[in-house]
Amino acid sequence: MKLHVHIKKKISEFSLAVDLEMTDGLLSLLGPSGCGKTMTLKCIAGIENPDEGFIKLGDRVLFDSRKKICLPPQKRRVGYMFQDYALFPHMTVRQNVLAGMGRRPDPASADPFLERFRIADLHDRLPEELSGGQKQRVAMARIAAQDPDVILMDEPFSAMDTMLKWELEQEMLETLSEAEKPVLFVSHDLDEVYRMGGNICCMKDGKTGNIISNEEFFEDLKNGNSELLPGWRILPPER
Amino acid sequence: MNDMVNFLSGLDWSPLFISLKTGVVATVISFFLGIFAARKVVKASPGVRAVADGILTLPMVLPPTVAGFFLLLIFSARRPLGSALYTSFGIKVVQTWLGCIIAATVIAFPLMYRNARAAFEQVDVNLVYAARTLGMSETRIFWRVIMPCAAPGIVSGTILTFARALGEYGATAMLAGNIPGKTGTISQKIAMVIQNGDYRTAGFWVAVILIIAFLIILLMNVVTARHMKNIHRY
Repeated sequence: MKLHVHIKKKISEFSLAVDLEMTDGLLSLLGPSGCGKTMTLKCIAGIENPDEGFIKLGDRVLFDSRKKICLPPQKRRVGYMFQDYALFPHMTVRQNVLAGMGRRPDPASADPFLERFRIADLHDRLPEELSGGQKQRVAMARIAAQDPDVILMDEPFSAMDTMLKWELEQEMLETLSEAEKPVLFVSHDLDEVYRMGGNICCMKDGKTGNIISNEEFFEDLKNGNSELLPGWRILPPER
Repeated sequence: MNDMVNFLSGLDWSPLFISLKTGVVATVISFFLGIFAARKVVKASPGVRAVADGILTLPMVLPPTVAGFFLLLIFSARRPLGSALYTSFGIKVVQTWLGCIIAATVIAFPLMYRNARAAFEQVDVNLVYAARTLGMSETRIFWRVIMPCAAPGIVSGTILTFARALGEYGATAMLAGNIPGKTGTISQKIAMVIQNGDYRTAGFWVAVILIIAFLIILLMNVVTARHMKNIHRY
């Protein structure tokens, strides 16, 4: 499925201008804090509305300022993974997974997702009783159960220690490659983006750059030609 | 001992029931109105919010007699609204139990409203966003996400509202008067018997109020303690 995002939004002094086109697979949106990455995700999910432009997912128009189309988040079929996972604190793991499965889902319909994300034995725990990695798996299971057309991830590893992060990245990569959906991954961490692979789009002061492959991006970076980080170099390996 | 039995058997228990009935009804009304108002105010624009919040909180800050004065202005049978209510619906507010309820509701409402508002404001907005992207309708989000997350604040607000409504004196005395068996609440009973120097009856009702108040505080602590069990604080 193809995702087209061409939007503009002004927030007091800051202006966002995003031009993105992507298909199934991973695209990392890389940029410093406050460059508008999260705002971009929120606009795609319908949590915030752009001033102008359009967002198209497959053949569905999610937003079009000219045709005055603006689907509510409920109708967009967008899976959004929040930085802190936004698990419902008063619901058990199972209830969290069921939350995106319609009005009165059969409790057993969560089972395949609980199995797949290895949280079946935690099914009656509350989020506060889970570790960071377990919470992330619940959040992933909830999104998988919702069966969205696109997955948006807002710095899902930012709150984790390095050891756990590495493990979870691998785990998430596996899940995402099975998903066969566009996955937009937001990050400010070069290492993370490098390990996740996939294409990269740099973002700076609210503007998106070209979409380039992972190899190309790090090649540029090594040679100090990066648009995003002019003059910035990855330290040579011999150090 | 015999004295005590005589005292208790000769006692008019009506103030307890009038107070409890008034407290319960006023709390139920304040509960729904307070939550409704809190939702509206939280969603309103900052300017509207400041003014609306001021008006809704005012009865809590004003002396109850001032609130009673305004209530009389509105509901007195010699005033337009009061007389219209009486002639067209036969509703009388002044010197009736209805007056007790209205006075207690007006005075206790801000407690419910402010607690509900604070409870709503501390609900993590990302939870609401997450619920939306998961396809939950706004009504469902309110009942399944916002209310459960705000529950501890709303429960303690309800308990405080009940406590305040139960003990209301100033506005009640002005609007509803102190008619034994009809509008005579515990707090009015205490004031009345003290004027006659009847310290024994006053002391008895003071003890009743003390016990109820203590139970209320105990209940509050139990509710909040359950909520706090996973939060480690200084």
